[in-house]
Order: sequence, then structure tokens, then C-alpha cells
Amino acid sequence: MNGTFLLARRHLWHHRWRSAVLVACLTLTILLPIGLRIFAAGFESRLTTRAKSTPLVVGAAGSEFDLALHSLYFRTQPSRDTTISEANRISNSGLAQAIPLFVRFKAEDSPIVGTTADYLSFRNLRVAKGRTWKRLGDCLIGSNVATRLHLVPGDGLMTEPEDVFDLEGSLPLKMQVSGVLAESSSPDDNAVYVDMDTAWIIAGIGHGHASSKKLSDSDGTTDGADLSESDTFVNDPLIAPYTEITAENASSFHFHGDRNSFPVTAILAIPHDEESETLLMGRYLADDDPAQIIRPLEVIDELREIVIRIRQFLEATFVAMTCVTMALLGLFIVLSVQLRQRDFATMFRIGCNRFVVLRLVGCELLILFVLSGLVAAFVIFGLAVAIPSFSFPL
Amino acid sequence: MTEIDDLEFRYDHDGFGLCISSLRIPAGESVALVGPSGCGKTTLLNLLVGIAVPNEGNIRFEGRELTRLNDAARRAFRISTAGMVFQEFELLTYLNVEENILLPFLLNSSLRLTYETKKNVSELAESLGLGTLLKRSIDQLSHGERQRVAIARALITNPALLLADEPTGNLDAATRDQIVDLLFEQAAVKQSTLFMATHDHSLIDRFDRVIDFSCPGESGIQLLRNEPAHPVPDVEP
Repeated sequence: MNGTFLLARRHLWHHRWRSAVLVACLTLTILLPIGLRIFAAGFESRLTTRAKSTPLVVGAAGSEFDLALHSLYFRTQPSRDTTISEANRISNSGLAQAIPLFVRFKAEDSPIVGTTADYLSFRNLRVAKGRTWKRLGDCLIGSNVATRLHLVPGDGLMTEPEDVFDLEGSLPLKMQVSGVLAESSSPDDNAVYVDMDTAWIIAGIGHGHASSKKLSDSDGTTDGADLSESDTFVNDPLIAPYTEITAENASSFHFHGDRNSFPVTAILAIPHDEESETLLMGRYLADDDPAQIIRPLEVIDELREIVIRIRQFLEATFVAMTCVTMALLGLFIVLSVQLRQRDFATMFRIGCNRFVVLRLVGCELLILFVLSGLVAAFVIFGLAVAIPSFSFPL
Repeated sequence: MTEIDDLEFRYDHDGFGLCISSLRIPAGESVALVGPSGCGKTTLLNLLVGIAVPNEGNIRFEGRELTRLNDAARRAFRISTAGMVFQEFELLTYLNVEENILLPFLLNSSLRLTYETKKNVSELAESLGLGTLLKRSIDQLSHGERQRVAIARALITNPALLLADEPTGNLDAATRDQIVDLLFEQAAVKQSTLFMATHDHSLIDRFDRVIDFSCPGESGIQLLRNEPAHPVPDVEP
């Protein structure tokens, strides 16, 4: 058998380019279905894990999928916003804890999540370096963002305008990184967290500029932390607003309008018990309600059904592809054996067993399959290590 | 001793065949099989090593009756007792020189590949002028070198029967003489009985015996061409 193995090895090496093409074809044939399975299993698992840990989500009436994906993965944007008053209404009902989310802007391609400190404890997010946000303009960054942008506490991070062609839109704001979150292997690793006030300032609802004067203050100065709806300011339209919040200018930042009407894109609702959950769900049953409530797990299960159907379709395609590859491989072996008739005739004349040909071809196939399996395993492992999001594209 | 008695062999497809009433070749003798192409030289060589099986009669080698052996036993006989050199060398181009010489060991698990075998390969290669070429690819060798590799492959099992089927057919005169010298020399060293098919009449003086297929009556061999066999009388050396 060792001799046959050596002959097989030598023959494959002699025709190394042909062997490489065969290994590549077989690798793809092995890699695609297995890779798809691993990918889909990881996708489904993480999809449901995140949804399972989020009991209810409230948002503006519209697509349930958009709201679920937005609140769980900061992905899609709901067509309409709801308001912070909705979050207050849930909290005041005594049925659930409400965590508002305002996710509309990005910084260096990472979503900026405006929320409260409750979100961090709800998701068990721990600050690994630095501290949580304390001042207006502070941000906490996920571990992947820190790695990707080489950011440490104390660094600055610019927001991106919602639309670069919208001249009346909000200006970019330079945030200060106050801390880096520990890795959680979730979409939280790819996000930037700010408090709700900072998020609204990024959205242009609040701003600060040198000539701002708070009329209600007798000394003309104000503290950004003490902003209230009743405060009144006069602004000089010729002076541009600040694009960075510092200790010196923080007091000039202020908001316009009714604070209750400030937007949030989603509200995570954590009911105190099952009865509270049922009661809370009942409050959103009216068809004309401008808000909707969803159980993310139910929505994600529907999404999973679609993923499973797509996976089944792809698997059927791969089965067909495998059959074609195997048929071509069979044809290749037959042609190869025909081309090697003279070699085999010499072997018979020397005195070798007729089964040597079978053993030789078998050995060659075994080597090709083992090599392809190893390459496929290496590629899958390499992708999983090099690109952690390979198993989790969301 | 190689003995043939009342042998009749006929190909199914064209009816061509051989008929030998009696042939006795003592061990260590050299025999030239001469005659034009297609006269049956290769057929006789194939019969002598059990590649072809006669329709009738017996072939014995050192007392072993080949015609009574089954296919597996005939293969075992070939690999252990016979060495064959072919006109077209029939080397495997994907193996190097050393591996080509060791081919019988690679193909048959009954032959054990030991350190001793590898040493034998080196010595044999040295004696055939291939000592420095063992790791070379076959593609890098000249015609003469290739034929020497083929001879080394035939000799590596120390065969008692050495068969060469027109081994000089593709070689120039100088290389041809070298190869024939080598075959005789190695056959003498191994005390092998040498059968060599050739149509080169300039070589026949060197052999102990010549079987001329173009004069079947004299050689004791009758060629069958879709006619009934007419055995010829015994021929003694």
C-alpha cells in the first residue's frame, strides 16, 4: 500500500496544476455546503439569542422587521420615529422598564446609539477602559470600533452628517471617547454609545454657540446639564454653532422645542412580569395607534423561516452542483485511466496485480479528497478567526 | 532449464499463433529471437513469463510448470523470477530514476523494500553508469540512459529469467552496443537466462543460441496463420 501511495502521490505532484484545479473544485464542493451550514447555524443562533434577550420593543407603527432589526442590530431605519414621551408613558405605567434608543447617525461607519445607562446594564456591557459617559459629548465605543479605529479614552471621534447634500442638516460633532466597552461578541461591539442629550445634539435638536444668551438667567450664563424646556435663548444667526463640546462651551448648549416630542427610534420595554407584559401588549392593540409593540423573538422567527427557506434552496443547488462535480470527476478519472493505459500495461507485464490500478486511482482520489477537506477546513477556520463577523454578518 | 513441450498458442482475433513441439534452454544461456516484425518473437517472450497462456502444451521453468499456474501465481512468478526490458523503455515519467528502478517493489507487497534493496539499487545504478542520476527525472535522461534505467528495473529483483524485447530498436549503433554489453554482463553476473528479441542480425553472433522465426522449420517453431498446426521435430542445441 505504501508503494501505491507513493505512486499516487508522485503522479499527482507530476501533474500538480491539474491536481490543484481538482482540489480547488472539490474544496468548493465541500466548502460551500458546509460553510453555508456553519454560517446559517451561527446566523440563526445569534439572531435568536439577541432576540430572546429582548422581550418587547416599542416603536412607530410600520414594518415589524425594520423595528426588530433596528432595535436589535442597529441595522435598518424605521420609516418613522416615536417620541421620548412614549418611553415615559411605559415607565410611568409601572408595567415595564423603558430604555429609549435613538439610532440615526454614524461615526466612521459605526452606528451612534443614543440611550441611557440602563441599556449598558440591560445588555451586561462592561467598561473595559476609561469610564462611562459623564459630560455632554462623551461617547463609549464598542471593542471592535476601538480596534478598527485605534481609539483609546481621550481621543476624539467625529460624527457623520445624515446627508452630506443637506445644507440645512446637522453639523458633524466631535465627540470625546470616555471609555471602551469590553468585547461582547454582539452588535454592541460595533456601536458608539452616547447619552440621549448628546444624540439629540448630533441630530441638531440641541446646539451651542458663542452668542447664545439664556434670557431667563440673570447673569447670562447657563449650565448645559441644567437645560430645561422653559429656558429661552437668543442666537446670532451669523455665528456658527460649536462642533465640539468642551468644558468651556458646554454651558452654551441648549435645546429647542418640547422635550416630550424629542425623537427616539425604538424603545426596549422590559416588563416586570408576564402579566405586565400581557397588559403592556394590550395597550398597543388599537389599529390607529401611532405606535406598535413587537416581541422581537416572534419577528426574528419569521425572518428565520425565510433564512431557512433560502438555505434549503441553496442546499438543493449545492446537491446538484456536487452531483455535477462528481460526474465530471468520474469522467476525468475514466479519461485519465485511458491516457495511462500504457503505464498500467507496463505494470501488468512486470507482474503487478490488476487491483493495483484500482488501488492507485483510489489512493489518488483519497489524497485529493483529504487535501480538499483540509483546505476547506483551513479556509473555514481562517475565515472564522480572521473575520469574526463571518458567522455573524448582522 | 527452460522447457517447452507440444506448445500451441493462437490469438483469438486473427488466428495467428505459434506451435513449438519441443525446446530446451539450459539456465544461464543467452538466446536471440530473430525475425521480421510480427513474426511472433514478442508472443514467445509473453508465453515464457506467463503473460500469454498457451492453448495446449507445457512451459516449465526450473521445473515449475507455468501452464498449471493460475493468474495470481503467474504474476508472482513474473515479479519474482523474470525481468523484462522493453523497446520503448516503458518508464513512468512521474517517477525519478531510483523510483523507476524500484517499481517492482512499489507494485508488489510480496517484495519487501528494505535498506538492503536500496543499497542494491545504488550498486546496480553505479554498475550501469546511473550512480549520479538516481534522483533525476526521466524527462532529463537521454535514450541510452533511459534504456539503462529499464535494464536496472528488470535486474533489481535478481531474476533468473531476463527477457528483452527489441531493447536496442530505438538506439544509435554506439548506444546499442553499450546496452547489449550491459545486458550480457548483468545476465552473466546474475546467472540469468537471457532471451532477447531482435531484428538486428549484427548481434546474433554474441548469443549462445539463435531462434530464427524467418526459418521456422530450422528453429523448431511453426508459425500458424489461420492454418492447422503442423508440429515440427524436436530441436536440440
